[in-house]
Amino acid sequence: MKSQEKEFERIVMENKSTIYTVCYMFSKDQDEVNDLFQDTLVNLWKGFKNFRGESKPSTWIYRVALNTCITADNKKKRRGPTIPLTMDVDLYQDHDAESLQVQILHKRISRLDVVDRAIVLMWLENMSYDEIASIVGITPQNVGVKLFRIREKLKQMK
Amino acid sequence: MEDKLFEEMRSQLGLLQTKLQKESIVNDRLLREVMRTKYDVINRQAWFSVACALFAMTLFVIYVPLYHLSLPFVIVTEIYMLVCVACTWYSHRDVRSSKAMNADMLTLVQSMRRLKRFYHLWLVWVTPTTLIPWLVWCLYEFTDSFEQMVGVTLTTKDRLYIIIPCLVGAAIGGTIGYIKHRKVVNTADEIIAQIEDTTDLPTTPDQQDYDKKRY
Repeated sequence: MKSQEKEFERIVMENKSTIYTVCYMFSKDQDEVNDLFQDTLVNLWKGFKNFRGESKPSTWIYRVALNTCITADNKKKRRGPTIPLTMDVDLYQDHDAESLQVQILHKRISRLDVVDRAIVLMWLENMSYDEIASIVGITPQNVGVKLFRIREKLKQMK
Repeated sequence: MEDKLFEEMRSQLGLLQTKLQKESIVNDRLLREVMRTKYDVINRQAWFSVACALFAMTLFVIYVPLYHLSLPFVIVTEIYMLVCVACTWYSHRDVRSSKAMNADMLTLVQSMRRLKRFYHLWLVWVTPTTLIPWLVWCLYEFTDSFEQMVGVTLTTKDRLYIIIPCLVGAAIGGTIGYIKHRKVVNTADEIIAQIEDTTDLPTTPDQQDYDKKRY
């Protein structure tokens, strides 16, 4: 069991920025990011025992993170008297130049619907149409069509 | 225009990921889920011990008429088993899976240390001082009852034919018991180590030395 935990920890560490990015793009505030982040890690741990390596770890992680975020309960959950520790960063409150750029990205992406958000995020991470299609559950051709429509939507946004 | 837009978004995403790469993750809920699994391991050992004790208590009640065991011996054995069950329940009272999800980390570490201390006392003090005398009495009872059942006086050699299998059984039982003991203590150590690796709980040098001891 210890080796399984070490392996899980290694995979999560390598992909932590991906997981947090997805959670950030599906959230409205820092509390929501933290909730989604924790839920995603728990779901990854639960699914890790059944992960057979048939897809790349990053693909599997993206799939779980997206499913968690898309199906998340939007009500703010009240947690018990624990101290949830998460990534020590507040992308909503930081005002340095980099954070402002990130916030611009967040504003653009959060105006899209959930599926479009997922597709554009994966495309921005240089995933292939095939990979995106396998995660979202559509055809690669459909991915191309959706990306074209997303471009049009983003062009029209101020 | 389109390429510029997406290039800009890609570079913004790159900034985000660079920023996140510098951060470390500590996830309270994930840690608790892992600990809950380990709590279940500890509790399964306790349930196994309780089940064995209850089984033995039932057997002894059946043995009384079959083997002509003395009443004081049966009463003492039943009380001994009851005390073992009660002590198991007492030592595991803080080791519930629900506590892993709700109590603060310091409380969880303290409950694990208390559990280890109890197991240490049981192994080093209680087991030799109570189990060995009971075992000797048990061997005497079984050889004596055999004489009564068969109606002959046993020679030393005959007694050995009864004593040796009993001792083999005791050795097997003792080995299984020690393996269960180590499993609980090792799992408690893993929980303590996991909490200390991922949180900033203060530990005194004595506590650190205590955790390193093998019980």
